[in-house]
Amino acid sequence: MTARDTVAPPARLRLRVLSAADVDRLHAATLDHLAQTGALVESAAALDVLAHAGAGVDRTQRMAKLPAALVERALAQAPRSFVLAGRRPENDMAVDGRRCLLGAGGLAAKVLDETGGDARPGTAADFARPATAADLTVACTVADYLPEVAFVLAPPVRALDVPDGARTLRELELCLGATGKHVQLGTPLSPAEAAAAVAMATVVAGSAAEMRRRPPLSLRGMGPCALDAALVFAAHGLPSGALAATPGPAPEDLTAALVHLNAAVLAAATVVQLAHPGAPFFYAAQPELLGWRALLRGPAASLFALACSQLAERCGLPLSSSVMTTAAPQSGWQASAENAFAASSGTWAPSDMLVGAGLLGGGALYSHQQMVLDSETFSWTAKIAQGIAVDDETIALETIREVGMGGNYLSARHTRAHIKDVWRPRLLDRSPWDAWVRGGKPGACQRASELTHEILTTHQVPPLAPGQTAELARIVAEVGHGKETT
Amino acid sequence: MTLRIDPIVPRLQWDVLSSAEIERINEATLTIMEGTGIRFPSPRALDVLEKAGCQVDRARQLAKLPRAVVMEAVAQAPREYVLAGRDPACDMLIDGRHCYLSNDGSGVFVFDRVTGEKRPSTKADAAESARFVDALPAVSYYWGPVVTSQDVPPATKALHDAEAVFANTSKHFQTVTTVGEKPARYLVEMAAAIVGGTDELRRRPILSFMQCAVDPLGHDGPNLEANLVAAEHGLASGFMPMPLAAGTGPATLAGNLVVQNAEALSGVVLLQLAYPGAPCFFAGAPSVIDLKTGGYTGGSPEDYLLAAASTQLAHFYGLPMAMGTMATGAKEPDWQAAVDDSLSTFASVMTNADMMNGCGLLNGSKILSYPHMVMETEIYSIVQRMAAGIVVDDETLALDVIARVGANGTYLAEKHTRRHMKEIWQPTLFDRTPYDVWLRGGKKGALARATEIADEILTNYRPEPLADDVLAELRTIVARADAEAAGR
Repeated sequence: MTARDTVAPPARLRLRVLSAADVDRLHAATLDHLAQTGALVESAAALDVLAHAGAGVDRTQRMAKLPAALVERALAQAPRSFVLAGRRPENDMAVDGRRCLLGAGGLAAKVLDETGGDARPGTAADFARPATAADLTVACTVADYLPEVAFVLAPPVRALDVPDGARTLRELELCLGATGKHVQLGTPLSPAEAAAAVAMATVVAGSAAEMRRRPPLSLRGMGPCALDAALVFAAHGLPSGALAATPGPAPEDLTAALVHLNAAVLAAATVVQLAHPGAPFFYAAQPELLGWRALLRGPAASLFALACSQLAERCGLPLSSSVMTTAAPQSGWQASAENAFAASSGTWAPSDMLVGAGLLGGGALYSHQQMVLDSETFSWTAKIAQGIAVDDETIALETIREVGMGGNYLSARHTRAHIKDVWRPRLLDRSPWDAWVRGGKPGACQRASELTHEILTTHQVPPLAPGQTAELARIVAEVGHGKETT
Repeated sequence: MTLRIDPIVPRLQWDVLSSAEIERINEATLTIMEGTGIRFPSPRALDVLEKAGCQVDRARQLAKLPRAVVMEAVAQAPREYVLAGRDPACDMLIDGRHCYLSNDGSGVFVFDRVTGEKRPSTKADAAESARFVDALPAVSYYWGPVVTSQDVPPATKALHDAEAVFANTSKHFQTVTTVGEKPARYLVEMAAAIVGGTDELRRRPILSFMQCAVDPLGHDGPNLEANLVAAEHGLASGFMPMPLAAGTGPATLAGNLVVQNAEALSGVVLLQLAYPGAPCFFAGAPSVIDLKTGGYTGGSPEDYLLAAASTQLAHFYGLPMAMGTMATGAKEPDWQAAVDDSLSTFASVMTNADMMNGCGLLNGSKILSYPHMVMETEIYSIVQRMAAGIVVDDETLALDVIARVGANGTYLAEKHTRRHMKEIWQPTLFDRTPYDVWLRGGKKGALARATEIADEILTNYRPEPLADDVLAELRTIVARADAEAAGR
């Protein structure tokens, strides 16, 4: 199977959950909070940047009070649009506020391996096991094939068979080799690892200048060093998203939680823009970054993501949301319902990036079959987001007159011209009951499993050049060695 | 006292068409109604239309409806009315703000509770389904029957269905299988017997009617005549077009909307011309042709876009909308059913569809499954929470609390937290336990939990009964209709 071009059609429809006045009020409350109470900023380098810019910094408490004018001035520097480049140029995707890009994975520690034997639907009970480097490669290969997947959240699953010290960069190396699509790094990075990751991206891009133009790597910062890592990425023009600090427990109220998150994002955005004006930076509204899963699941997760898209729009930053992380432990009805709402909020906002496709068990498990199912759900909601075109051609008054009462449109010229626009499912079953029973009652899970099997048997990911492979291995080994000696 | 019905009152609103686009579709619709016309194969209907100034062609049974006649007639339709339940706690205020879910209807099979196998439905199933719907607050009214009585004389099936339904639910009943003037008059007689006469029925309309239109651009004679009987008695009624894009409607969604709009609107015009001020509604179950089978898709992105746009159009005319919602094409309550039901319910609620038909059937409205109906009410509750949106005010912003707790404190001890914790949506069927706990617990899924709930209702739930003399009267009316149909 040859990879098909990635599909991310622009959305015409927008679903809004906050009024303009609500958005202004939340934005103002956030600025007020940053100026009066201040933000916790875990990075010493970031505190330096803020102090230099005139913010009130308390280094012992790691708190910074950010005047509203400083925040607004910094935000004005951030670009609204940028490219997430693929290793292959045909996989370049625009972050432009008009479309939602789907990210596969990630960071799951366990995998449901449905690919070992026959193509059959996997059940969690049979197959959950610690993820390995081989699983990671399989996940990247499936993501590389699926046209709805725009990028890989690296690693989609952890490579737990790789020694702990070298794991993060080794996982990145595997991802860069196993997909031609953009890679967004989601693991916590030390500043040294961040620098190594940038060096690896330079190898893939060919040069530092080309990397700025077409960044093949971005960062969704996690952990206490997230902002440090984001500063390293930003220095080289690689897109990043991070929070100033991991916020404390969430208030049990969506509105207060929004202010809380908004403050952590705006503080980080301010730091990055002060240090590297114009560096691509995105609004990371991700419950698992916050540890707020108790609040942010079910309908609240969708509402939160939709509200964040409006707050991100208000401050001029692209949004990455990850509500596609069903709590269900296996593929099926619950995972489907939860991710249908997640995909809806992602594509109808639209959120620029939506990650978590393929995850189950609240992000603890990854399933290749679920990845294929989530892709179809995404395709469904993205088609809805395209809305209805109303013009003379689509109103088709002449055709309606010609067909008249009781007639049939199937053979009309107008129908032949537009039939290609009708959405076609890969996994849905629309067969008559008896045919379905005779066929062994195949469900979407089984078809997803069969498709995964087919992808893995036939899909070839274009390899890295031999020189690139060697250079990436050298960088990974060097950092690994450095870790061992310190 | 437990809640009998639990409609959604959405705060959120989602427009898939702009005002200018709605105007354009309205204009095209009026052009078709005026220039091409609509088929009304009923002498009575053609009489009414001709008298109002429509150009009528008796040989072709069509009427061309001038736009002035259309807009004047539609303006007569009430903007707000009540669909009453036998139990006043089940009254539905149709006012453009509430979204009421019903069950799905006109199925012909059930999954047998004992064998689990698919079998044809009977009058006992119609009765049991009404009892089941009566128990579920998420399901505000009974639409259908859910499955038809196939063990009774075909000519009076709708009346047997109604007898089974009236006896087993005190919620509002909207019939979708009563066609022709005679059966409609018998049905009205039954409803009148329950509430105490036709005047009382006008005041407490426990019955309403829905009919299918005939696509494209036509109606069915007996359907028109049944709804005319409804309007005569002050009972709400509407017509449901189902143009299949690329089959019985244009392949493009905008064109499809024009065809279905013309059909639904023309039905309302007829009813208003015959009985000005009679409660009416738009209905719809739009879909697209399945390119593989030539049938309808039973769920596709286009279906929901059409649903949302049709509801906007109904509201443009100031009319309520009864929208085909859920009604998945899936054969089991599985992945496909969940995507389909979730997106479809979301689209209907976010556009404030007044009535949504409905839950409980699989395989494209053919097979009744009670656990599936319970699972669909879980999806309904998620959408209900989403539609409530996010409230931004001093209390919810809680700036003082945020400042007090600081960056790393805990909110758990705060009064504000205790006040708002109860607002967090809690699942009935979803599993959120850690993976290992789920394994040890026997890997119970949503279907297993839904089956337990369904079994509990079927075993133990008893609806508010009808008085024996009323039951006897209903029996007598149905027997009279049976005898007349048999030529006795």
